[in-house]
Amino acid sequence: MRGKYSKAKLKKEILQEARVLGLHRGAVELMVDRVVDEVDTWISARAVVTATDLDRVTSTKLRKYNKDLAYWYSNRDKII
Amino acid sequence: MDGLVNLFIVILAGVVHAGLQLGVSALLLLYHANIGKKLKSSTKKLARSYLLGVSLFTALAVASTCYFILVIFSGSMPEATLAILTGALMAFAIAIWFVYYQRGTGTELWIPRRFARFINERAEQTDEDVEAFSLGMTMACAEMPFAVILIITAADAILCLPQGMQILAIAVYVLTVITPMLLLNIFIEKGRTIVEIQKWRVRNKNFIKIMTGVGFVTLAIFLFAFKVLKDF
Repeated sequence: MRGKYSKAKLKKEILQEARVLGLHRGAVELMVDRVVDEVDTWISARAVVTATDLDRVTSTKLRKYNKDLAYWYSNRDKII
Repeated sequence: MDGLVNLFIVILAGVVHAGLQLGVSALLLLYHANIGKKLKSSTKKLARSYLLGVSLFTALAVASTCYFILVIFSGSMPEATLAILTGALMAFAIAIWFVYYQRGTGTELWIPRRFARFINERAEQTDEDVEAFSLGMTMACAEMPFAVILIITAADAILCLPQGMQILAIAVYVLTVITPMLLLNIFIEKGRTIVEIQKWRVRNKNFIKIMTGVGFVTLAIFLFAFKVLKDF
């Protein structure tokens, strides 16, 4: 995630990547809500979190629900 | 025989050029930015405009290089210059093996990270055909540090072909260069996701890197054997 963290922004970003993969919004929304909650809990226990940490943790949490989405989320900045 | 040798050099240079990955990466980014956001037909149109941009820039680069060689050498290159070109091709093979891809788990290329971010942003902001066309031209231009040596080699071989064949040879070169991008379009139209394609690229990154380098070496050896040593 680029810029300041917010739950809404993270959710929007994951939904955007899910749309790229052709995943149905209705089907992924519940999963994304859970992931965002888990990531938010993880963040609130820490004073400082880097963007790389956030990407890594989000991807780890996503992997439980959708491997392709997790892969794409963690590799989306490594195409070029 | 000479005509066949020159045609083979053009095709081989095109194949090696096709192994360079900047154009494919940017096309993938273009798909990433537009799939799901726009209609399938609009995304297809953008991809087509992108390909047209790459093709036109490559064709113009080859044609103008032919012209420069013709003006500078009053015909095709002499053996001494071709020998230097052979050495340069070998050096580029080493550069492909050690510099072209960055270390890491993705398919990040040699370009500066700021420029990579710029391309990413441009792909995201591309809504019109003309923007996709310009992105295609930009990517073909950005590939030049590695592609220029191949274009010089192909241009010299094109000049040795009969006049009627020269335009056809340029078309063959361009078509060979855009083949991976055409295949990417076909795969996406057939229903492959960009994740599957990116996973394939990551899995085969080292193979592509080695084969592209080997292509440079093969072209150098071929050039040396059939053009530099031919009169000895």
